[in-house]
Amino acid sequence: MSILNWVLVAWLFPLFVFLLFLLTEKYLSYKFINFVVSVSTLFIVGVALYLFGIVWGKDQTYLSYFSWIFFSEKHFSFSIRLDHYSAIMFFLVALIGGLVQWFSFTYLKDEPSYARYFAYLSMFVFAMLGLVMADNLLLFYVFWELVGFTSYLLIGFWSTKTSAVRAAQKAFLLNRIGDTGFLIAIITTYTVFQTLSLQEIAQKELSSTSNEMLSVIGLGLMAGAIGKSAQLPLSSWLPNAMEAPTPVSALLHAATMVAAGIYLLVRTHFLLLPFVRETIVFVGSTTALIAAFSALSQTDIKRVLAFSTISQIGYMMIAIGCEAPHLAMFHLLTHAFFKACLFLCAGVIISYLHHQLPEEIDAQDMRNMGELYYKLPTVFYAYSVAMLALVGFPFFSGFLSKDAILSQIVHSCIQNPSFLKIVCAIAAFLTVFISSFYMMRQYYYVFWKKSLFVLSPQRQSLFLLIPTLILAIGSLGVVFSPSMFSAKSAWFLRKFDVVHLWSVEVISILLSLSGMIVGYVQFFRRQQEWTNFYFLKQISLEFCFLDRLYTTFTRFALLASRYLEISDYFINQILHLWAKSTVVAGFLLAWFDRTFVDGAIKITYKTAFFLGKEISNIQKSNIQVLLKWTIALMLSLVGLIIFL
Amino acid sequence: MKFLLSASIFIPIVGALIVALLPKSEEKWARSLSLIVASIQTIISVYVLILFQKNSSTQNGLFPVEAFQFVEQYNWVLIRLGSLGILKIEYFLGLDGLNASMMLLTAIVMFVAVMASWEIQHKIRAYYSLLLLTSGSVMGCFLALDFFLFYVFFEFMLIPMYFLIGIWGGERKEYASIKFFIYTLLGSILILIVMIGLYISAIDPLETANLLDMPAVESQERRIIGIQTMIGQNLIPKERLVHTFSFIHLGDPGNFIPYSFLSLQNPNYVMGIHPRLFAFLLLLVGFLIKLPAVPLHTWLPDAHVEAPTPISVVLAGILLKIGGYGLLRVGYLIFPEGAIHFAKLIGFLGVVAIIYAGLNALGSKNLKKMIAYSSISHMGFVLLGIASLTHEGMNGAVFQMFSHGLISSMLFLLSGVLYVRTKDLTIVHYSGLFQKMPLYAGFVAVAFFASIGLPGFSSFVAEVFVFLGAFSSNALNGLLPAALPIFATLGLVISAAYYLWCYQRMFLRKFWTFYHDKINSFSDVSLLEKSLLILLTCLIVLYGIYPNLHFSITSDTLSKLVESVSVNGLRNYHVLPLK
Repeated sequence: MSILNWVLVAWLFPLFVFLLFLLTEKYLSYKFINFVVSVSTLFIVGVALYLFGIVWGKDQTYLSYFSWIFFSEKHFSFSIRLDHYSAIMFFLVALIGGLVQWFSFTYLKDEPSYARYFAYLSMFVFAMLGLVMADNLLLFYVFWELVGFTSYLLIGFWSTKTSAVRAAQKAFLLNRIGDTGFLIAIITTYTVFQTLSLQEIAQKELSSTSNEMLSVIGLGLMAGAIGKSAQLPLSSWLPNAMEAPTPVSALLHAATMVAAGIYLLVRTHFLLLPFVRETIVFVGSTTALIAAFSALSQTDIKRVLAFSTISQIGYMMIAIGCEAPHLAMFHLLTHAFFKACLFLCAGVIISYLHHQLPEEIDAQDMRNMGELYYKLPTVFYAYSVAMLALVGFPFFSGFLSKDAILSQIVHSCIQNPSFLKIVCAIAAFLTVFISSFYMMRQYYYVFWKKSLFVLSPQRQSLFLLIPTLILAIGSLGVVFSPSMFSAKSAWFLRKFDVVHLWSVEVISILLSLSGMIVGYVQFFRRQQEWTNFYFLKQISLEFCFLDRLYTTFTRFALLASRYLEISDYFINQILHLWAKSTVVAGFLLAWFDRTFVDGAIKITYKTAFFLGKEISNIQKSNIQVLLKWTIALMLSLVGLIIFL
Repeated sequence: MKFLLSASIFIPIVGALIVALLPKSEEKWARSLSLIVASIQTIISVYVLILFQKNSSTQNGLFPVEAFQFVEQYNWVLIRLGSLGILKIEYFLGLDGLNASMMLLTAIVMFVAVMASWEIQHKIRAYYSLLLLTSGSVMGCFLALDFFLFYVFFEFMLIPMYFLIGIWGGERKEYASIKFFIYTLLGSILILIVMIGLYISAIDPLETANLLDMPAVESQERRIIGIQTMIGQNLIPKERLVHTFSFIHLGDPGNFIPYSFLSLQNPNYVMGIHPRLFAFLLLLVGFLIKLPAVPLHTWLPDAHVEAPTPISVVLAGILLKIGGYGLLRVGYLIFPEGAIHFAKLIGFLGVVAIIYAGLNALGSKNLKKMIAYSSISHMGFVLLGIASLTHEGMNGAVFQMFSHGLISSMLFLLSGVLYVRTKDLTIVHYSGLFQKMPLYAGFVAVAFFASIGLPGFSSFVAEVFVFLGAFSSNALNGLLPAALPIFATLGLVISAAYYLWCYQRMFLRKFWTFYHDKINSFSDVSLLEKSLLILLTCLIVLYGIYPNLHFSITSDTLSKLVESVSVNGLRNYHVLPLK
């Protein structure tokens, strides 16, 4: 079998698992589910490795088409592209998907809808794999929507929980707004190029296309990415999405799905005009900064990580805006590992606390944690590694990718400086500082703070620890680059010219170190929150009141929809008026008919009757009557003569 | 083989008579008899479609007669009317890409409706016989190629529907049924006016040639051209002109008597616009009432809320499609210049329907009302696609009609499932139904997401193509401004909003109901309900994954339609005399 067939089988396997689990949900045993999922993930990871080896080892690219929809000489093909980017994404989804599913074996052991959970996860893997391979924008959109749908299902997995259900709905709707932009981009692309195949579009001459159209396309694609990758102003769904089971957060809302927006922009970066790129840089750096700022005040362990995800994706946006999609992909890759690792750590911590703490205590609240460094030592080490990767500490993966992006934006500022870009660059550097600051805060709260509760050590299942450790290993710098200080030698970037500025590197190390030191002083030593200003804290806690804005808007829309009924009521009233006036007119006509039309006939016959009676009286030969008639006739004759 | 189309019309009508004449003691047969009839109709439709598909690319419909398949053409009425010419009405049926998929949809939806009528308990003979009558007349309406025949079926359909809503409906059934009747009748009258206008203006050149004893040696085309030149030069006396209702002859402006009321040359304007454009406008309003489009839609929510479940299924599943179909078959093909002139208006009405009805659905407190408004909203896409006059838009629009037929049937079936259990569909009276009726909630989720337009379901493909067409129309033929489809995308967000919100309120969260005494009546879907829902789900997914199943039937005809309407429309439009 050729590689393509293997890939197709591996891709369809989770779909099959989805259908199997969903249709026979009630009859499946715990062991059977685990068996099927294990086989499926092992198979997919195997194929992904094989694919990865061929594509990256031999530098081969595969393209495959088959016709999906055709009419009137127009074809919309189901086209698959296996190149470097899709191979690495395929591998990433397969690997982290597999690890997360193995993690879930233990994590969700007591879940009544165990089969449904894995059905949804498999559906996600199917959709995400389809998305990374799609070469046609329409196909991309298909899987894009499916991914959003599975995200909806998984966020609302605990469907009796109102907050979870609300979060799912919010995620879907905010994504939908972004998707609208994507759809507009698609229809514009189709109008301009008469095709939706990226392969074909890439070969077309862009200079002949009108800038107007290209800007619509670029902004539309950007809107799609903003929705899916939770950038401002559509980002507030991601913190709420933490209602999902924690492994889901690790897979969807940290490592893979939220990166789909970045992946879209990477795939279509050649369609982005300079000003669109600049907007993307602006959006990315603003989001990075504000989200990092918001992470400072969160108390929920997962919400901190969610804001951190939003912030890190901001970096990827910056990379795309600076014409370095390869760096965006690189950061996506490193981020996927360390962020998934952090989430799985959080998962272990939450499940541990859940068993230890009383029901009514929130096991996700960092204030209820503490002293976990010796209660959960393995998690502590994994967490430390991933945290160092996140803050951009040398020797760890995040350092390589983040630094490359920072170098890139500085480089592009030097080459064509603009005020906006410089501001964005400053924001990006500031984010480095804040990132290490809030991570120290979390580090302190989770592992070092004095615990409020008495916790007994508990052995954690290997199913929970091994995936976490694998991901922690993936957060080490060695995995990606033999050189510890430069992304230049990373295998991922060997084909690209990577800007590497030592000055940027030094500044960023200093910033992240100072962030950690300040954090250490503030939290470990002084044991205080980062600020005492209520308003500042509230802005940070509520993510710049974005949610309030949305709530107001939604209220307004609902109100408007209620009032719209009135216009229907008016249409109906007009109709009723018309109907009533018709009926009234009918009654009037009937009265007219009775009185006048009928009346005329009545008069006629009454006259006839009267005359007949009178004339018949003549026959009675009554002298008085005869006299009366004679006089009447005479008078009328005289009258007639006079008148004439 | 030759009478398959007639069979699909008259088997239900004969069935209706038989059911009506059953004695009271044999009442139980009404149900199975109707089911048999509906099954036969479905089998015929599928069989016809399989045969049709073989030649659909060569015999691609619209005109001339030879381009149709399964043609049945007989003179029905032929009277000499002196100076009014000769009146000719044909019994003329035929199948092309435009009505083939509608035929299949009718059969499927009627089958589902008959199956879903289990809840009807009283006067079942009358009920089933009226249902079958509807089935026959809807089928006739789709298959007729003679305007008069079309109109007969179109009008006739009203009567059984009126009784079906008026007798078996809910609390305000009388109001709903009379509203439905009057609204639709108003539309019919407008169509009737155009029909009379067409009758006095157009002739059948072939029949005229026959009656004039033109030499038979010449080919058909030459005879047509000959007659057209002769009427152009006023050579044929009025008494010998054969007036026709055939769609095929009406589509050719050459067949119109010069300077007659609806001819291109008529210099007299009606209310400021040319009579032909005015006639198109009348047809537009007439069919938009049926579709329905805002602001002619207010009969629909009432009719749906009051109608029994299977009647809602029929109403949303096929009756609305007659509006779209009629607009194409009658409006677009006879007056293509109207399609060009009013394209912006039609597209605008489509977008208004999408957004206005969507917002109304968001504000609806009743599940069935919400679905009814969503129906209006989704039919807006049909208008938008039709207005674009592009291949993508037209294919998308017709596919949207088909897909909406299946999805709305499923949605109304689902609302019926809850209605038989509690007799109440107020959204806020329920919460967390997922726990009591998991399978039901699953089906509702499928139907809701199908209606939202999730990929994998048929409506996704339809809506995307409508958007593709509507947007490229600006660059291709300049009919629609690009802002229209961009506004329409708002509808996608709104539809997701009302469905998800409704689902969240009714099905998710903790179980609770307004009816504490009916907690035990929340049983999950029965076997019958389940099988119907599975059938529809499979169809929706099948057409969603492999839409070519539909496009392969319709696309050739629709290409021809787009080409001919664009070309003829522009040509006619420029010929119209200035005011």
